[in-house]
Order: sequence, then C-alpha cells, then structure tokens
Amino acid sequence: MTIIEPAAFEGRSPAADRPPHLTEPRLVRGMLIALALLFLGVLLVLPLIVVFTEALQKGVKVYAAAITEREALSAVRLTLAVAAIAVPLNALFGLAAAWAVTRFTFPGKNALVTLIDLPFSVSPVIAGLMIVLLYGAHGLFGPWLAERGLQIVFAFPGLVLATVFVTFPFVARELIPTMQALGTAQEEAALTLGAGGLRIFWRVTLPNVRWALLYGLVMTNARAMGEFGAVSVVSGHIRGQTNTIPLHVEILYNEYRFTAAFAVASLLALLALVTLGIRQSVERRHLRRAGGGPAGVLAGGEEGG
Amino acid sequence: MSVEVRGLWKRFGRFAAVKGIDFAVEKGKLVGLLGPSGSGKTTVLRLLAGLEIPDAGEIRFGGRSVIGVPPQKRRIGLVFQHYALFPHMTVFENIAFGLRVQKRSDREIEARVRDLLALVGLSGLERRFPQELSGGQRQRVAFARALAPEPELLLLDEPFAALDAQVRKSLRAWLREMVRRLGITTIFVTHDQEEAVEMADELIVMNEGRLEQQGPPLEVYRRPRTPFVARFLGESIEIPRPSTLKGFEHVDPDALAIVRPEFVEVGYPHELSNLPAAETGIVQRVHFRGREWQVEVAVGGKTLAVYLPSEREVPRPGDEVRVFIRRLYVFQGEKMAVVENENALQPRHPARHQGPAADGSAEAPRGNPPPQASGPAAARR
Repeated sequence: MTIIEPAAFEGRSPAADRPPHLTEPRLVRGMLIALALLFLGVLLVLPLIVVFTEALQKGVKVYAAAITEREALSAVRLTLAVAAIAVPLNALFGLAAAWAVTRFTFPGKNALVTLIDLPFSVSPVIAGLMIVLLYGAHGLFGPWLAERGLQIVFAFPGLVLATVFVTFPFVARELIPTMQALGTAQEEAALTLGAGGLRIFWRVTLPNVRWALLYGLVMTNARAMGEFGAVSVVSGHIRGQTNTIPLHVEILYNEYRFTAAFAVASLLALLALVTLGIRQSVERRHLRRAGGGPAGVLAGGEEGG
Repeated sequence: MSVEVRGLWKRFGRFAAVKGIDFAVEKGKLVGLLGPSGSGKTTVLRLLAGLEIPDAGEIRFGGRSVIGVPPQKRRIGLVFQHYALFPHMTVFENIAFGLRVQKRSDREIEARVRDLLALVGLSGLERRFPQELSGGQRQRVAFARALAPEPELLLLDEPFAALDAQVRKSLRAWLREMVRRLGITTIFVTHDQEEAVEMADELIVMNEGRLEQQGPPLEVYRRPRTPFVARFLGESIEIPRPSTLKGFEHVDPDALAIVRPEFVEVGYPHELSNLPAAETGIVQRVHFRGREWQVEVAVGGKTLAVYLPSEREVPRPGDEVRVFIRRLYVFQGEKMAVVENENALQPRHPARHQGPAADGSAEAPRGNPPPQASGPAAARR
C-alpha cells in the first residue's frame, strides 16, 4: 500500500542493465516470470475475461436490459449514494487520525495506530454483525432507536455505517507514513512566516500529501462500492431498497439469471479497472514528486503551468 | 531587536534540554550559538522562535517579554537546517509566502520578491521549483523567504550543515556580509567551531543545557572559562599533574591544566632557544596534513600534538626532541588562569618551528595582534 520511493542515488530501476553476474541464471529467471504470469492469468485475467464474455454472451441487448432493469438501477444508485457518503467521511476521519498521530504525542497513541487497522483484521461479516448487535431491534440501542422511529439496520444508515467501518483504514494508512516522512519543518516555517493554522493546512500540508490522500480515497471508493460481507449482514436484502450492486449480483446469481448477474458484475469489474488506472497514474505522479531529479522537475513543471 | 534571556528552562519529559541559561544579545549583532550535538542550542533557538514553550524563565525582544506570544507575532525569521522550502511552490511563491500572509498588494509583493532575489543573487530563478536548485541556492531561497516579512531577529539553525565544504565556505562569507549590510540581529546555531569563530561577533558556548561562556570569539578562544570551552574551541590536551613540568613547578599539582598545540615548541636541541626549560620527548607519529605537519610527541607519559609548517623538515618517529611548553591554562574550581612558563627567556625572538602566521597569537607576550581568531573580531574594531 505504501508507495516505495526509489533510492535517491541509484536513479535507475533495479532490473535494468544489471550485469549478469549479479542476477539469477536465465533459466531461473524464466521460470519465475512464467510462474508469476501463470498465477496472474489464472487468478486475475481469466476471471475478468469470463465476467465480460458471460455478460455479453446473449448479446448487447440483453446486457443493456440487465443493467437498466429497475432493480439494477436502484442498486447502482444505492451503491453510489453509500460511497458518496462513506468516502468524504473517511477522508475527514483519515486526515484527522493522521494529523493526530503524526503531529501530537498523547497517551494511547500506539493503541490508536493499531486500532486504525482493526477493520482490516476483522472479518467484514463480524463488522456487520457488530452493527446489528448494536443498532438492531434486539440490539443495545435498538429499543431507544425504535422509540424514536429511527431505523439503522436493514436500512440506508446501516449500509453507510458498515461501509465506513470496513473502509476506515485506507486514507489514514496512506497519510500517516507520508506525513511522518514530511515532518513538521515546513509547517513550522510557515508558522514563523506568520501563517495561521488554516492557511498552513491548505497551503502547506495538504499540497504535500495530496497524492497520498487521493490514493487513499481511490482505494476507499473501490472498497466502498465492492464491499459485500458487512453490507450483506446489515442490508436485509430488500429488493430495490437496500440492495447494493454486489448484493444484487448475488441475488441474480442465486436465481440462476447468470447473464444478468454477470452483466451487473461487469459494472463492478469496470469500476475496478478504472480504479486501477487512476491508482496507477496517481502512483506515478507520487513517485515523480518523491524522486526529485528530472522526473520531479517534470511534475513540478506541470503544476506551475 | 535586542534579545534578553533570563533563567530559561526547558524539559522534554524527564530530560532537561535547557537548564536555566541567561544571556543578552545587542541589537544588530551576529551571534553564534555553539555547542556539541545535544547541548540544547537548537532548543534555545526554537524557544526564541516560539516553537517551544519554556518551562521557566523570561525571553525579551527589544525589552518586551515574548512569553505567550505565538511565533507568528514575534517578528522573527527562521532558516531551518534543511531549509524546509515548500516543494510545491516556485522560488517566487516561497519567498512571497510571508508577504501574502501580510496581505500586501500584488505589486508590492512582486517588487519585494525581486529585491530579495537580487539580494541573494538568484534573479532569474523565480520560476524554478526548490528541487531544481542546488543546495547552496536552496539555502539562499530559505534566507530570502525568512527575510521577506522584514523580521527584526533572524534565527538560523545549522545553516550550512547540509552543504558540501566548498559551498559552505563561500556561503559563510556571503552570509556574514549580508547580515552586516542589513544590520539585522542574527543568532545562528552551529556545532562547527570554525564556522562560529569565522562568522560571529560574539559566541555563546553551550554544553549539556548550560551556558559555558559568552564573549567575542577571540576572548573565548584565548581565555576559556571552563575546561569544556578550552576543549571545544581549538585543540587542547589535558595535563594531569602540571607541577611536574619544567617551569610550572609553582602550579597547584591538583589543578587541571590544559595545553594548546600553539603553546608548544618542538625541535632538536639546536633549534630551541629555551633549551634549559625544555622537556625531552620522543616523536610518536608524524602526519602530513597539507598545510602543516602534525607531530605527536610523548613527554612524561603524555602525548602532545604540535603543528609545524609543511615547508619544514620534520623530526622522524622515534627521534628524541626537545619540547618547550610556553603556557598553560590552569583550571581550579571556578577559576581559570593563564600561566606562563617561569623559565621563559623574557624578550625573546627565537627561531620558531611554526611559521610566523601560524603561531603569533599564543606566543606574543600580550597585546600583539592575534591572528587565530582575528576575522570577525578585527572587523568589529
């Protein structure tokens, strides 16, 4: 997840132009490459191809019908709405957490850093169950919520909560090392030049971490839209109301409507590809900044224009 | 702006970085805060800047207390060790940052930045980004950025530490010149004694959170108040029982004595004029150091280092030579005394083993122009 910066003084990629006596024999290299490609092919490329061929098996018309069906559209809308709330919320949480961890010392800081990772180590199903146990009809806050006519589980708020929970670490995980490496000198310099907190944040800190932040947001978004386990537990599977895209795919599949299932699934696959593309370009810019030298100059130049 | 510090304390957890120091800096002075790493000098600088809050003590700028005044309002400029330029801004925008904070008009900002760029000799580079500049250029941008909002006190944290030796030398002279011209009170932190002596009007020597000595470089060099200062500024060797040396029999045997290489003459018997007062020593090692030879001589269980001009023939390791110790620093309790060798021939112009340029300061009985630390001191007079 953390982007590896190239060693400043080496300047070239470790693979390029390595003299033969410093690298593995040709045979070993060939085998390693073949093994990696085989893995990629079987586990990643093949399924992707299958999704698209299955989806388009019965022609573009059936495909189009499957994804414009009322329930499919409602699932897309719901997924977009959940992501639209979860991503900004986590951007805020992530920034706040990274700021707190890298700029202050306080008791329990290490515990906080560990806790930020919790959603990654807890199974999403458990995450969903936690929400049900807290806010469900028989949950801790259930009666209190029921009295006020608020429904969280099996409704939109529950989906948002579950999604925010499982995507919480992405932004913070990305920002903390970046802000640690950045240090506080620039902010202190701005301080002695008379700048106030808000100006320092907008003009000094944010521009320095923007690529890390964007990277975190892209990952958050991808996970928010594709999340299944936690959302499945809290959704209640009410068609046209609480089904997100992944849940809708599952329902279609269970009803043996394979073409429709794959058609809707292809939307998620497309999302994944777009995410990958954005990630790639962000990463490249990020690297160029970090690398300095001619590449860094390029990145700087683009922005100056 | 004058600076006055009284009883300043700063602790980080259980570690006391600054332990009650007092000093005053006159308006317009260029002061070097000198000490080994961990001596608390950077903490003092950060306390002055307002980036740290003192646990106790008083800081006054121009007679007014600045305790509780945030860094933004202290009218200071701070140059960081690694410059801390904003990498996403051009040179122009970096320098303009403090002016934009002050909401100056665009025309005013433009004019001020151009002036500063000319001042630091970087005109024409305003559209560059920091990563497109050399270390020395970055340093000058940082300097211009700190000066832009017209601070009344300039603070520099190890300003040359990140530069290579050649650039460092030329930037030192440049910075000293610049600060003199602007007449701005400046305090710089350094662990490099050469840098401090060369640049500063006045030195503040710190060790382990305490102030060891404050004064003009020449004075600090010639009359170190503590053994630490003697060791840190210039080269020095401790002599455990000074009364065993010829000519120093009157010195308290329990006192700590320190000798500098320039207080020692080494040569074959025919080369020394003070022969009766000279000890006998064996040459241990001879190192060639470019401009001079470093000769290590064992005298009575102690190894003394002496420098001889590289033009000269030097004794070889194993040779027996005569060693005349002209002077000692003797530390006893809180006091330091400069003790001359009693057997020295009084008006004397002996054939010396150090070039006249290299040794005068230590040998001249008193009042002669001292060359060692003369740069800044001479300029002051």
